Amino acid sequence: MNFTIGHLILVIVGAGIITAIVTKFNRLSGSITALLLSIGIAFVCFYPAFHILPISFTTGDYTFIFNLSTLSRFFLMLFSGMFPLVIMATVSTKPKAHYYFFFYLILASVIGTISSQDLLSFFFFFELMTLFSYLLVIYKKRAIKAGLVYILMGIIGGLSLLLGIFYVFWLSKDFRISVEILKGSYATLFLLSLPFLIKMAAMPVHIWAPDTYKESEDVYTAFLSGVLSKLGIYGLIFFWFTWGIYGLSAWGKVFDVPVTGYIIAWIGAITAFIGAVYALLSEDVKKLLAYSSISQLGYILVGFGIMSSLGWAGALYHTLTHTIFKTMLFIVVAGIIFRLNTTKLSEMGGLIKKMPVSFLTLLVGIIALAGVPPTMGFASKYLIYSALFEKKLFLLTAVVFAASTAAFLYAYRLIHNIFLGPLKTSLKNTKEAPLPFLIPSLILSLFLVMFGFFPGVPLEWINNILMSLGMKSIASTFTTISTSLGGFNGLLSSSIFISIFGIIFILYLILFPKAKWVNDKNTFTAGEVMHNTDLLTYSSHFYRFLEREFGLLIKLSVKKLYDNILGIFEWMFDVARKLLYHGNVNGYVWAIILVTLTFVISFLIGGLR
Amino acid sequence: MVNPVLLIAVPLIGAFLIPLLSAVRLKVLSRYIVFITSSFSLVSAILLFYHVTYTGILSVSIAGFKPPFGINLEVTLLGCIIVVLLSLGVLISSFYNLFIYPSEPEDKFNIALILLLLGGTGISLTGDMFNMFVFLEITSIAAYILSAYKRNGTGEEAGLKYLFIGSIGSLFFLLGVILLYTQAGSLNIARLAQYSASHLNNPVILFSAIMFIVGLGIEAEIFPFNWWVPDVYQAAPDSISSVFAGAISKVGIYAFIRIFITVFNGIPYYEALIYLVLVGSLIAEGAALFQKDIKRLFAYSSLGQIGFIVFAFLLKRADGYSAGIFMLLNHALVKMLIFILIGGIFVALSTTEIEKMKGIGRKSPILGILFTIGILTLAGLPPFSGFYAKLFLLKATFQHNYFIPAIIIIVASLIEAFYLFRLIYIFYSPGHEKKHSFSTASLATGFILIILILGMSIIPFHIKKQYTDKAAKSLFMRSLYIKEVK
Repeated sequence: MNFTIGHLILVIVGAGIITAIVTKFNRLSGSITALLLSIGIAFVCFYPAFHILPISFTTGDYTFIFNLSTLSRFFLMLFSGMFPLVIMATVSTKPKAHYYFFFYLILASVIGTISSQDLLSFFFFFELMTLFSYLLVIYKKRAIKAGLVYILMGIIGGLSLLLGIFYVFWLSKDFRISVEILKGSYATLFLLSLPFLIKMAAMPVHIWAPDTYKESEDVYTAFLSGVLSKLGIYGLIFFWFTWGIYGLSAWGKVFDVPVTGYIIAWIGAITAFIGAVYALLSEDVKKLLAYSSISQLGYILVGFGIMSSLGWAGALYHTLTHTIFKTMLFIVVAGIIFRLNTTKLSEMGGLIKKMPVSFLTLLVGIIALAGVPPTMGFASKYLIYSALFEKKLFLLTAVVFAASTAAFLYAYRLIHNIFLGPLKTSLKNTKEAPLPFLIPSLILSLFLVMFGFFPGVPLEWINNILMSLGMKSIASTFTTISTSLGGFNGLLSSSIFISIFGIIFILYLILFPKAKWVNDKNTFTAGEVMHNTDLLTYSSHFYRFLEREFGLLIKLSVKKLYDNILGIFEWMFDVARKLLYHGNVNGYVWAIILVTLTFVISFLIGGLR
Repeated sequence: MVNPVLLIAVPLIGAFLIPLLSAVRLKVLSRYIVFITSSFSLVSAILLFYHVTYTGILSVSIAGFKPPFGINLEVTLLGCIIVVLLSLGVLISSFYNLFIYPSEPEDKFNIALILLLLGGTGISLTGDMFNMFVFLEITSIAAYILSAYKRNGTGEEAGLKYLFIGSIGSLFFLLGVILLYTQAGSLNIARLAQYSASHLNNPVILFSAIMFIVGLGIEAEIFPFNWWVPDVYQAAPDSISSVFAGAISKVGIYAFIRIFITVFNGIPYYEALIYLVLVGSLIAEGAALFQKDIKRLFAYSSLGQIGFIVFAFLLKRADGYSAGIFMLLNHALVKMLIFILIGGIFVALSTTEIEKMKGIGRKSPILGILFTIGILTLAGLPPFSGFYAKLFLLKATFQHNYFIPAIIIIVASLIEAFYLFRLIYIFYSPGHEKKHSFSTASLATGFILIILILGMSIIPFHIKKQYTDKAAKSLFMRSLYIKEVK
C-alpha cells in the first residue's frame, strides 16, 4: 500500500481529534482509543509493505518538499515506536482530552520536521513542535513557570533558526537545501546549530531543561526527555551533513577533527560531566533524571563532534540507547510517583519488596545508563570511546570518563534511594505500580538486554545511514562490532557477564549454606531496639562529601548570568522608555519641534550639497 | 458596483439621523444606526474591492467637475482594504457596544463613532490632498471625543494630550499641503505625484515632505511621533481602543504611504527613515516589557508592529508592500480581537492590571483559548497568520539585501515573545479562585475575529496572491495612479 507523508500527518492529526472527542466523553475509553490508534500508527510506520512516498507542492514562489531519507526513517521509527509505549503509560493517569490532542499533534509535527527537505517547512514544523510541546508542558498547573522558560528558549532557538534559514536564502535565493549552503559562514553555522543545542539542552543553553522535566506531567516527561530531545541530534546531522564534513574541514582542523566539530565535542563533554555532577547532587528524582538526560545527550554531542564515521555511529547508537532507557526510566519513575505522590528522594526508600518489577526494570535501565553489558549501553559507550581513541583525543576522553564515573554514582543513588535500605513506615501500604506503567518498561528493558546480546542489529540500520551520508560503515555481524581499534562480541561478553554473576551466586550458595535472611533493621542497629526506623534511611544529601568538593561548581550558575544580561537590556529599555514616553505634553511638543528641525537641517545640508 | 460616494454619504446621513431619531423618541432605533451603517460600508467596500480588481483604479469625479478643478475619489485596492478593515472595526465595536452597554452609549458616542468611520473612509478613498486634510480633521476630532469619553480623569487627560499633539499634526499637514500647492498649483494627488516626480530637487517640495513626515507621523503613530498613543489606548473605552489599534492606526498608515509612495516617491533619506522606524519599534517593544496595565502593554506592542508595517512600505519593492499589507491585515484583526477580549475581562474583573488577571485562563477556558490564539498570532508563531506575515516581511527584507533591519525585526520578535508569553503565564498561573462571568458579547465578537484569523492562517498564500499582491502591485505602479487623472 502506498501513501504520502501528507496522508500520514493528516491521519495522525485525525487520530488526535478522534481521541480528544472520545476522551471528552469518557476518560478511560479515551485512553484506550489513544493507545489503539497509536499502535496503529506505529504499525503503519514500521510495516515494510507500506511505502511512505515523498510529496512536494508549490504555492507562489515557495516550494515545500517532504521526503524520508534513510536518516529520517531511523528517527521516524524511533519516534513512532516510542509513541505507543508512552501513550500506554498514560492510561492509568487518565488525562484530559487536550492532553491527547496535543500529544498527537506533537507526533505529527515531529514527523513533519524529520521529513522536510526544504528549509521553510523544516522551520514550520520545528516551531510547531515547540509550541505544542509547550502547550503540553503547561498541562500541569505547577509547570507554568518552567513552561515559560521552555517556550522562551524554544523561541530563541526558533528565531535563530529563522535567521539562519534566511541567511541561507539570501545566499542561494532559494529555500531548498542545496550546495549553496556551503557558502555560509560561521554565523550561519552557529545560527543553524543553536536551536538544536537548545533542544538537546547542551550546557550553556540548558537552563530550561531541569525545571521543565521536573514540573511537566510525569509521563509526558518520558516523551519530552527520551524522545523529543533527539530531534536536536537529527537537526544537527541534517544541517551539518549538508555542509559536508569536507566543507567544515576547510575551516581548519584540531587533532584531525574539524575545528567546529571539536568545539561541539567539548561542549558535549562538559555538558556530560557537569550534568552528571548536578544529577548526583539532586534531591528530587525527576530532577536527577533530568540532569542525567542532559548529561547523556552530552555523550551524543561528543560522538557527533568527532565527525568521523565511528563518532557518528556512536552518536546515533547512543541516541537509540538513550531513547530507550531514558523513556523507560521516566516511565518507571512516573509509576513510582503515581503510587507515592512525591518526587523527593528523601521520602522514598526500601521499596524493593513492594515494587519488584519496577526495581528490576530500573536496574536494567541504570545498567544501560552506566554502559555495562549485558545491555546495549555498552555498545554505544564502546563506539564513542573508540571514536575518541581513534582520533587520540585523550583530554576529551578523560572528561567523558569522569562523566561516566559520576553517572555510576547517580545511577547507584537512584536505585539505592528508591528501592534499597529499610522500608519507610509511611510506605508500608504501597503497592506495585499499575500495569500500564510496567508493560512499556518491561518491553523497553527487554530491548535493552536483547540489543546487548546482539549489538550488531541496530548497528546495521546505523550503517545504512552512514552509507547514505557517504561515510564508511562499521564492520559488524549480529553479535559483534569491530572497529579499527578492535572489537567485541556482544553475545560472548554479555554471556560472560551474566555467568560471572551466576557463578558468584552459586558459589555463595555453596560456601554459605547456612546464610539466612535477617531483618534489614538489624544490619543498621546491631541488635538494639530502634523505634523510628525512618531515621535509618540515608538518602537526603547522599553525596555530601562530593557536595563539598564541587561547592564552587554548584555556585556557578548560568541562569544568574543570563538574568544579569537580561537586566542590562531591561535597564537600557527602561531608560529609553522613560526618556521618550514620559507622559508630559510640553516635552512632546518640544520634541516634535526638535525632530522637525533636525529633519530640516539635515535636508538643507543634503540639498545644498 | 456600489458608487464609492455612497461609502462617504451613508455614514454622513447616519450621523445626522442619530440625533433626529433621538429627538422623535426613537432612541432605540438610533442605537442600531452605527451597526447598520458600518455593515453597509463593509459589504460595499468588499464589493468595491472586487470591482477594482477587474477595472483597475477607479476615479469618480464629484458633481461632474473633472479633477484639476473638481474633487475626485480615487478608489484603489489598498484603499478598499483599509475601508474594509475600518468598517469591520466599527461594526465589531458597535456590535460589542450593543450588548455590553444596554442603556449606554449615548448619542454623542455613536455620532463620534460614525464620524470616525466617515473620516477614515474619506481618507482612504479621496484623490485630493485638501480633502484628505478635511477628512483627517473629521477623524481626529471624532477620535479626541471618543478617547476622552470615559470621564474618569485619565480619559480626559489622554483626550487632551491627544488633542494637543493631534492638532499640531494637523497643522503640519496643512502647512505641507500649502507648500505643495504653492509649487504645483494643484491639490490633486495624482497631479502632485506627476509634478513632484520631476521636481524632487526643489527645496520647497522637500520642506513640505518634512511637514508631511511630521504631520502624518503623528496620525500614523510612527516613531518618533507616537508618544500620545499609550495614554489614549489605555484611557479609551475598550471597544474604541479596538477600533483605534485595529483600524484608525491603519488609516493613518494609509495616508502616510499614499503620500510617501505616490507623491514623494524617491525623496532622499529613505534609509534614515527605515532605521528610525525600526529603532522606534525596538524601543516600543522594549517599553512593553515594563507595562503593568494590559491595555498599555498592547498599545506599545501596536507601536512596535506599526513600525514593521511602515518599514515594509519603505522597502520600495512590490513584495515589500505586499508583506506590509499582509502584516497590516493580520495586525488589525489580532488587535481588534485582543482589545475586545480585554473589554470582556474588564467587565468581569473591573481592572486592567495584569497582576490581577492571574488564573483567568483556567477559570474561563474559552476566553483563555481565544486570548492564547491572539497572542500566538501576534508573536508570529506557526501555524497562525502572524508567522506568515513575518515570513513575507523577512523575505522581502532579505531580497532587498537589508541584513541589519532583519536582525532588528528578529530581536524585536524575541522581545515580543517575552512579554506575550508572560501574559499567557499570568493567565494560566494559579490564582483567582472565584468564578467570573465573562461577557458573552465579548466572546461572541471574539469568535468572529478568530474565524477571520484562522481563515487567514489556513490560506495565507492564497490571500497573498489574490489580494495583497494585487494591492501592492497597484501601489507600486505609480503610473497607474497618475494616469487615471490625466
